[in-house]
Amino acid sequence: MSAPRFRLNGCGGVLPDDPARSLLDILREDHGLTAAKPGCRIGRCGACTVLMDGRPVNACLVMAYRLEGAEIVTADHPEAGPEVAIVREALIDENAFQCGYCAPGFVLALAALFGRVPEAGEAEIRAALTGNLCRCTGYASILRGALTARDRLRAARGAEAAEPSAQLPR
Amino acid sequence: MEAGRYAAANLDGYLMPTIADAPERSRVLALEDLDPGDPYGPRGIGELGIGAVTPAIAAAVADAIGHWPCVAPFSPETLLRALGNGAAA
Repeated sequence: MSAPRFRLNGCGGVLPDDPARSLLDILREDHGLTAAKPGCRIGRCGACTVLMDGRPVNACLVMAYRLEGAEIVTADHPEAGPEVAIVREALIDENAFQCGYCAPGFVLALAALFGRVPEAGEAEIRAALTGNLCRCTGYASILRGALTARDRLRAARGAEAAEPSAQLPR
Repeated sequence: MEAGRYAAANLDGYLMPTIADAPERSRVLALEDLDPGDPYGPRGIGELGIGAVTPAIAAAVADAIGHWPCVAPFSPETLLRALGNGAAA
């Protein structure tokens, strides 16, 4: 194991000796972070979604050598940011998931979308989530949760603008 | 399945519905009336039945090669390794 050269959930992540080891294995096996789930392992299901420099990526397709200097955030991160916290709560409140295996991926894909496009409409939400598969729900509940999350994020931004000292919840 | 193997081994060869395929609107209704004379009431299917399948296949593997797999899915590599470690063929 070499010295940490990438950021993982706000701390130093440890790179493996094998430059071809997947980020998914690095997270789950080397760091004990199990929010990113192994599904297809070929970048089709989105269950292993993490944020790499703020953008959603499939951790199964990111090899260790690409992590040099990168900032990785996983759904395990308790302080992943206000978007993640609000999206997570909204999805829970709307009973968005059944088994939940795909949930961490959907949370991060949505948080990244709303970070980039705060007023994303339903079409943009659908487009941003096409890389995340769910076999339980038929997606209607996830869409409902996503729209609730967007509205709550808007309300939180409004509250922050009105009262600059008020922090977005973490 | 073809000859005991998956015809589509992964999601590159099997087209799954995504959120783009979800209907514009959907409404879920609960059926609250029981069939006449039904003494048990509504019962789930699906996952309740699935729970027994993996242990049953594990038991079949153990019966066949004498090795109890404890991690699913049971990959050919894992089973070959178990056979190499002295499990009866």
